[in-house]
Amino acid sequence: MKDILNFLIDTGKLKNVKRRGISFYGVKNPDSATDHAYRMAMMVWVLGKEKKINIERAFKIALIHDICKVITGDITPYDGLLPKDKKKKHKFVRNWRRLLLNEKGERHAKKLEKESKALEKLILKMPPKIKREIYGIWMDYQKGRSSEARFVYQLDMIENLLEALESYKKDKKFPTRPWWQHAEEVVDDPVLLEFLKEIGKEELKTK
Amino acid sequence: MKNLLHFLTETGKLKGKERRGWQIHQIKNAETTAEHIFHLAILVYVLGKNKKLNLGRAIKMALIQDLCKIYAPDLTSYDALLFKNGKKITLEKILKSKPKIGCPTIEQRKQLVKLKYTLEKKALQELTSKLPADLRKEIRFLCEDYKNGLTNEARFVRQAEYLINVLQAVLYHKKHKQVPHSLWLRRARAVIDDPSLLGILEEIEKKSKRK
Repeated sequence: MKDILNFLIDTGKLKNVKRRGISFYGVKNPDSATDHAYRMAMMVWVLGKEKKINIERAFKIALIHDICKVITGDITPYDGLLPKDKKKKHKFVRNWRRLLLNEKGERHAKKLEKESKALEKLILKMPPKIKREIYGIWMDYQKGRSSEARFVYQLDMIENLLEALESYKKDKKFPTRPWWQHAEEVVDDPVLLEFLKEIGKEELKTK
Repeated sequence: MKNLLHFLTETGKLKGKERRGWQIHQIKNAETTAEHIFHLAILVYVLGKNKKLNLGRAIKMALIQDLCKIYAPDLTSYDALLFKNGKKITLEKILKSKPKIGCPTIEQRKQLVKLKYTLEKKALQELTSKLPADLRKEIRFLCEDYKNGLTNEARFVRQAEYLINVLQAVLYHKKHKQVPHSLWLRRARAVIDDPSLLGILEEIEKKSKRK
């Protein structure tokens, strides 16, 4: 029981891990990783209802997909590439090129290694049954093996896009394009494509 | 699709809502409602796994138990202290008055629950009115179930909610002394009867005593 309590306390710390992607563009008070995971879980439910997926598994994926960030912090693909000075950074990211796919792949592999080590540390003392399940689910998500994992991964990008759109509504200088590009690269599920169209319409209304 | 997008945008508002129960204790950057729900869902997952529960249903309940807070005020059990001798009190008055810290009587709790129930039901109806029929029914049904503790899942998640609040209270107490975590502990002891949740509660109690 003590180990489970410690796990709960650790995952609770995720409330203090702020998401860095949108903060690059000068957004103060970005969502925490838990805020993000919460809405992803809601999306799993609302958008996955008509799909033939195991919803329980999809919920689990959405809930735990980011827990390793308690240890590693929010690693973005652009870490180490951007200037440290805040003002410069805000200017820089607006015009900066996108990473090449193989650059991204390399960075992703490094991130995966760091994060999987962090995850192992986090669940080290959990009862073996649940430990195996969490690890299995997390790996599944990273590799996109099951249809649930692929569905939730696409939702991850769409949740980000929604957050970007909400930041744009508050501050019209905020660029939503990077998030659109990312979503376009990733989303192929018919329901979610339909949903993306709807987000597009919503964005047009605010212009 | 349009209605789904609207619904998800509205639920996103829970991310910005810091919970009033902590704000009353002047905690800066208190957890948001969305964060609370996430933490609860993790607890339900980790402890519900070995129980004979429909885990998918239990997680759904954890996700929606606070959904009504998007439109309804976030009333805390301290607010029950404002109900005196059956006199009526308006909602504005409750939200404006300076909260007292203490333990309300059963009668006061009942009155608060009644008020909350009406407000939250209305809020939930407004929120879900445009959803597709099957989703709307599912959400409303799960909420009713949760509020009344009809199924095993509902009773488990309700108790888990008390537990996760106690945990947060104890953690805040360690950091900022002003949270009277013993009130929460007392309440949780009165409410929780599930063995695995009790096990965690004991650990939390031990932790709260340690310096």
